Amino acid sequence: MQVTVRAQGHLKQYCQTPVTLDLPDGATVRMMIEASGIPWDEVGLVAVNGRQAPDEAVLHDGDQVMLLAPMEGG
Amino acid sequence: MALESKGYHGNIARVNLTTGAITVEHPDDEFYHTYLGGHGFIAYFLYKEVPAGCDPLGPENKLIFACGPLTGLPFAGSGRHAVGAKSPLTGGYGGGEAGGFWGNELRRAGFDALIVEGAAERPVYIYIKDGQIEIRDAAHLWGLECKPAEQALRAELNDERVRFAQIGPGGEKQVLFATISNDLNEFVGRGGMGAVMGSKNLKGVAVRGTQLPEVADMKKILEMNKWLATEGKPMYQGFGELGTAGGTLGSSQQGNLPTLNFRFGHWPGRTPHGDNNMVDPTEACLTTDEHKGAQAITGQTMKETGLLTGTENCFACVVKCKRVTESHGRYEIDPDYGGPEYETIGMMGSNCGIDDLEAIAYANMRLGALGLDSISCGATIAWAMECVEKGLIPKEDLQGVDLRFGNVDAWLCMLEHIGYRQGFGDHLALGSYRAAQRYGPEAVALAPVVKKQELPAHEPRVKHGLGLGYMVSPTGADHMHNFHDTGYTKATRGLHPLGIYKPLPTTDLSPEKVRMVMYTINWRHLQNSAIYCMFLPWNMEQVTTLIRAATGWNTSLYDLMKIGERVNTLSRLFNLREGLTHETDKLARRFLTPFENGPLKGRAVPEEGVNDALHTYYSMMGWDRETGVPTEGKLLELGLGWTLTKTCV
Repeated sequence: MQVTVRAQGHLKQYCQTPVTLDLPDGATVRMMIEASGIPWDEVGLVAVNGRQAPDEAVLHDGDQVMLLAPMEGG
Repeated sequence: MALESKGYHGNIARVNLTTGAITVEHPDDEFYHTYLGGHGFIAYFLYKEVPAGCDPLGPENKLIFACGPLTGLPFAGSGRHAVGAKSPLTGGYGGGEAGGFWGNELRRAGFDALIVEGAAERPVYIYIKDGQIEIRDAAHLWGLECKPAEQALRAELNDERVRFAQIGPGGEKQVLFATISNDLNEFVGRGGMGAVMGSKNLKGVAVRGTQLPEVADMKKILEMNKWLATEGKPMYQGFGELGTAGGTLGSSQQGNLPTLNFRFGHWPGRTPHGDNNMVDPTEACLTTDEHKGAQAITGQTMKETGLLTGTENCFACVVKCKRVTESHGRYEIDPDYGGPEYETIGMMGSNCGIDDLEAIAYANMRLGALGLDSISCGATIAWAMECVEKGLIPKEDLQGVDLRFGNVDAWLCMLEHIGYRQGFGDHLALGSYRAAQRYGPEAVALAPVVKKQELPAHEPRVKHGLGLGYMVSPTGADHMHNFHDTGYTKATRGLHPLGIYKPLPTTDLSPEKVRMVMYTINWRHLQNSAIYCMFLPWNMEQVTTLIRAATGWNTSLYDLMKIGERVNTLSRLFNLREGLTHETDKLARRFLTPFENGPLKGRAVPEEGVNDALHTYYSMMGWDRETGVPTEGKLLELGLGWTLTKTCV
C-alpha cells in the first residue's frame, strides 16, 4: 500500500516535500516513521487524515500523514 | 575599577524621572558573575530596591530594561532583552522578554541595563545615544499609537535607525496587561510592564549606538554562527516557513488549543445558528469535523490564502520566524505590525470562538498599535464571553456590545475599548481575575489564571508538567520559562547534559518528572538572563561556549544552572515578600476539570497529583516542603545570604 507523508517545523529537514512511501499491508504509524528515515523520537505528533494517531495505529492505502515536531513557544 | 570580565560595558544607567537625576553605575565582576544579566539583573534590583508593598503603578516601583552578555553579539538569537518591574497584574515579580533590535542597540549605546525610577510630572521619553542619556519631552508623542509614535520620534531625531521601546495608548491608560513594544512587532507582553511605564509618564526609551563591549573570543562566536547558518540550517529552516503559527492545527489535534475560554482544547469552528456571528458551543463541539476551525486559522492557511506576505527576523537571526501579513480587503492590515503568531491565533482566535484568520490578523495589528498583550487580552475577552453566555454579566454592563463567542464585531470593538479604556473595556482592562470580582464566585472560578495572570495557549491538561510550571512560575502563568512535556515523551536528548535520560509521558507527575520540570525551569531562567532566543537550536554545551566566548569566564553548565536556580529563587523571594505565598501556587479550577469533548475527552490535571508534585518541587529546590519558602541553607549556597536580612516571612 502507499501513504503520503508531509512534515512541518524542523522535521522538514528530513522531508522537504511530500513523499509517498510503499509499505506492507498492516503497517503501523511507528513502522511508517522508521521506513521514512525520520528519527522517531523527534516526531511530536502524527496526524493521519487530519486526526491525531498513536504509534500503534494501522495505516491504510491512500492515507495522508502529517508529522509535527513538539511545540513549546508561541 | 575596570572589569576583568569581557562581554559587558560595566555600565548600568539609572534615570530618576521624579528628580531628573541621571547616573551610571559600574558593578563589579562579582555582580556580573552572580546575576549574569536579563532576569538576573531584574530579580536583583527588584528585591534589593523596590519596597515591599509598594503600588506597582506608583513612583516607588522600578522598571528595569536588562540585556545580558550575549545581547547584540553577532550570532542568531542574540537579539533579545528583558524588562521587569513589580507587576500590576499579579502584584508580584513581573517581566518578560522581547526580540527584535532594541536590546542590541542599547548595548551599542554603551549600557548593559537601564533602571527607571520615580515618575515624571508630564510625558517624557528617554534618549540614549552613544553613552549620553537625556530625558526629553514626549507631549507630542503621548496618545499616538505605536507606528505613528515611532515615525514621529525618528523624524524628530532625524534618524531612521533609532530603536524605540514604547507604550501605546494601552500603556498610557495603564491597562493592566499593556505591553512595551519595540520594532512594532516585538513585545514584552506579560504582566503589564506597559502599565508601569505609563504610570511613570514614560512614553518610550529611544536608543542608538555604535559600540559593543569587547568580547573575549569573537572568532569563536562567528565560527559558531557560521556553523548554524550552514550545517545547522536544516534544524530551523522548516520552522521559519510557517513560524509558530504552523503549529495551530497540530495543537488542536493534541487537545492543546484553547477554545471558548479553555473549555475545550480543540477548535471545530463556528456553527452557523441563524445569525452567522453566533456560536452554540455545544453544537460546535459535536460536529464531526473536530479541527475545521483550527485548520482555518493555522499557519499553512495563512500562507496558502496569501495573507502571509513575508517573514522577518530579529537582529542577526537566520531563522526569520516572524510573520508578516498584509491585506486591503475586508480589513486594512499593515505589514509593519507583522502578523499573528501562535499565541495570538489561539488566545484571540479559537479561545474567543473566532475562525476568521483575516480578522485575527487585523486584531493582531490593533493589539500592536495599542500595546496590549494578546494572551491576556484574548483570555480576558473569552472569559467575559463565557460569563455573558452564562448570564453572569448584566446586559447593562456591556453598554450595548453583544459580547458572545464568535461575534467578530463585538470582539474587535472590545479590543479597542480595552485599549482606550472605554465602556466595559475599562473594566476588562483590569484582567479577567479582577474583572470577575464584581460578578461573584462562579465568574471568579471561570478566570483562567495563576496568580491573576491568564494562561497562554498551552493546555496543562495536555502537559501536566507544564501545569506544575504554571503554578510555580514567578510571573504567574507563563509558558516560556516553563517545561513542555510533549518534547520529552520519546527521548530527552536536550536534557542529557543534566543527567536526564528517561522519557516520561505527558501525564506523569512523579518525582522523576518534577526533576525534569525543575531543571528545565532553572535552565529557562538562565536563558532569560544570558539572554537569547529559545527558538534557536543552541544546545546547553553550545550556550556555555557562547557565554565563555563572550565573557572570557571559565564558566560551565553547572555554574550557569546555578545562575538559573538563583534567579528562580530570588524572584520567588520577591513574591513571598509581596504576600504571594504558596497559596497562590494554584491552577484555576477549569484545568482541574475534565474536557467535556475532543481528543482528550475526560482528561484533567489531577488535583492531588499536581499538589504532591508541587511539594516535591519545593523540596527539590531546597525550599520548605510545605510553604515553599527557600531555606537559609539554600540561600547561602546560592550566594543570596544578603537577602536573609531583608526577608520578612
